[in-house]
Amino acid sequence: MDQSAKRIPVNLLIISPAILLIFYIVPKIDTSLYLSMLAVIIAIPFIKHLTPRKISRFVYPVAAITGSLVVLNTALTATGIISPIFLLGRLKIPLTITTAITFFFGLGIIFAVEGIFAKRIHGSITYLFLSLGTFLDQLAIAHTMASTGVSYFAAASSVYLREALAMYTLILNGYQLALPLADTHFNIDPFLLVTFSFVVVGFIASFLIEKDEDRSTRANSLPYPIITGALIGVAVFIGVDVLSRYGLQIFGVSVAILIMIIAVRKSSKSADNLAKKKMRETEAQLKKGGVI
Amino acid sequence: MIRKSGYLLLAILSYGIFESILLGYPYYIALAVILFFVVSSDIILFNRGPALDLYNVDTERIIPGKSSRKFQAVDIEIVFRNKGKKRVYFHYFDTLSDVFKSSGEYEGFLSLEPGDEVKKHYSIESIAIGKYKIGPVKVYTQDPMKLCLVEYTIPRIDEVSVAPAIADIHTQRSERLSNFVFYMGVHYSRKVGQGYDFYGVRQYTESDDFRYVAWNRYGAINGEDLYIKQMEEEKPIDVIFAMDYSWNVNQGTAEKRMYDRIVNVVINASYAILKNHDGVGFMVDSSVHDHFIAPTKSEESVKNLEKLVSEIRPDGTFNILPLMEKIKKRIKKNALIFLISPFSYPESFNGGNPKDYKIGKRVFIFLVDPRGFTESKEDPVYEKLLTSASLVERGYLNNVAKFFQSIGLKSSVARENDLLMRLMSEYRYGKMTNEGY
Repeated sequence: MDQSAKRIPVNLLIISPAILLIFYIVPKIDTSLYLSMLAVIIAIPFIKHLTPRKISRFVYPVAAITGSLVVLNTALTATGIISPIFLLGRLKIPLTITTAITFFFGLGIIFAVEGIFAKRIHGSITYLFLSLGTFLDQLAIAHTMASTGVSYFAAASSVYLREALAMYTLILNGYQLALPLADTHFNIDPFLLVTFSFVVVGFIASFLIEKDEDRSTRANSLPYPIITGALIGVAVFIGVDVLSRYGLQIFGVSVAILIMIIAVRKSSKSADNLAKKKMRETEAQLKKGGVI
Repeated sequence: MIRKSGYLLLAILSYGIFESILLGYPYYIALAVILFFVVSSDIILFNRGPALDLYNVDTERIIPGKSSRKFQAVDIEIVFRNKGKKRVYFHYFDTLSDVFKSSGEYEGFLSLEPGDEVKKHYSIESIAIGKYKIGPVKVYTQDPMKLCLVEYTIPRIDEVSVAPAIADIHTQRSERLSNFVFYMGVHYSRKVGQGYDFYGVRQYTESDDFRYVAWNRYGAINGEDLYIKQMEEEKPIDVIFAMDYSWNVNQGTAEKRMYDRIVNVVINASYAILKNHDGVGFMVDSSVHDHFIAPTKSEESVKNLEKLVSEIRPDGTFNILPLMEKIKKRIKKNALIFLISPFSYPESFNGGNPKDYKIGKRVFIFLVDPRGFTESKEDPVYEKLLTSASLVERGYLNNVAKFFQSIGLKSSVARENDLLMRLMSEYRYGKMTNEGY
């Protein structure tokens, strides 16, 4: 079993929240999506990973160029700039909000699929965050649709407006006014919590799947940072929760992250300085011995 | 030192935190925050612990015999000690020259408790002659998530001298290769004329010394004919191999190096010459090396050469004119000088005044073609390029050879496979034309 194949089960754990959200959201907003178009978009990452490496790197550029040309052809045909000759007349898609929603939803699924096939932990975590961003937005939209009975477009406008307002007040006032998912409870919450714990398990497992000589030693040392990090993380989370009452959660988290990054940098610098000092001593000894 | 992947992961997790806070979904915030702090804690705990403890590792290398021959295995024991008060885990590898084929535990992973001592064994086998350094020992450790790396070079250096392999010196053993191959059964060590040993008879001429008349052959054919005895004397000659030992000869592949091959050929030629009762001496020359081994008719000079080349490696630049000057100063007796160099760099051969090359000795120059010391590949484009480059080099060497011939120095371009035959051929020619002055 090669290394990339070994990563797939671990990546599935990491991407599990996104997968769960896909299956939860699609039935709720399927009327606002072009399912055939969605199927075509979802097929792209699978085509990429099933084709030989020489061809696979051209899949996304070719898909992007083809999509752009189809949109261009549709626009030019609709405005009458070019006449709809036999084939060009058929190669068009509806230029509607539903197409845009389908495209962005499809993009989220592409991120999730790429996360499953990612070869490194940073790749899978990045794709998790990108796809979660998309699907949590969709979750908020679906919730708004269900609770208010408005159309998808109206619900999406409301959610994106609240997010924009949150960003605006953050930049202008230093705190957030409206958060789309802050005080909302969903049926899927307990299941999402389970998948989030899968993410943590997959994240830790990803460091131990490589069959190295030092795997068991690293595995023995791994609990220390996990326990320390989890304790600090829970403390910060409680702090953020308290600060959220005053709209200062971004400020609180920023301070916590900054303190941690300073601590990381400081510890790294002192280790680097010692390494440099030892290197200088070694070089001096090697020079003395005529080696360099 | 935090790896790029560490910074990347921290950046991604920071992005995740801000995205989660903008969305306001509490579980997502909790996930992103916990992951960020787990990764940060891993880096901090590593930098404060194992990264510092690594410097408590000490090593000692034990090599029973520091002199060996090519292809001969040398056993090495390497001892690791943890001088600290905490457990230390690390990967290690002993730095070795590419001339060594190594087997055993020259690299690996160790976990040492405080005060622990672990011995690892490996063996090396050199594929080239010379003196080579072993070490330093490099140790490195990484955090559980492989986001940081700390490396420590322990300045533990040893040296191993490698002499030519017995297998390479085939002419040392007469049962392997008869001198007949080189001399075609003719022993050219004597000069006909005055001497103590009887050579033959010929017809008497008026200028001959009457004391050597062979009276027992008088009148053998027509009753009046007179013959004279021809005597011969030993006419030994010294052969000096003047070798370029500069960067010029430090070329070739991992398996086949030019200096190694030249030394082998010279040693083989030397043993063959010794068997013919002539002396051999050596000059090993470059801007860094200036070694002269005086000619002897015993194996002593060859053994000295073997010892010398096991202690040095090609270094510095080479220029033929200073070498000619040294030959002129050092070689006083009648000798054949075999100068061997690939003349690969322009400074090796600056033309100069033809008078500078007149040193009053019989000098034969062998220009070594580097074609045999290039790596061969199955790629046809590479082979075509190599052939083209080799033809250019060959043309250059032929022109240098022509110049030497134009000023009266016998020279030829030799490839690695025919260098020995060319040396012996010129030796045979030199013996035949030896005037004995």
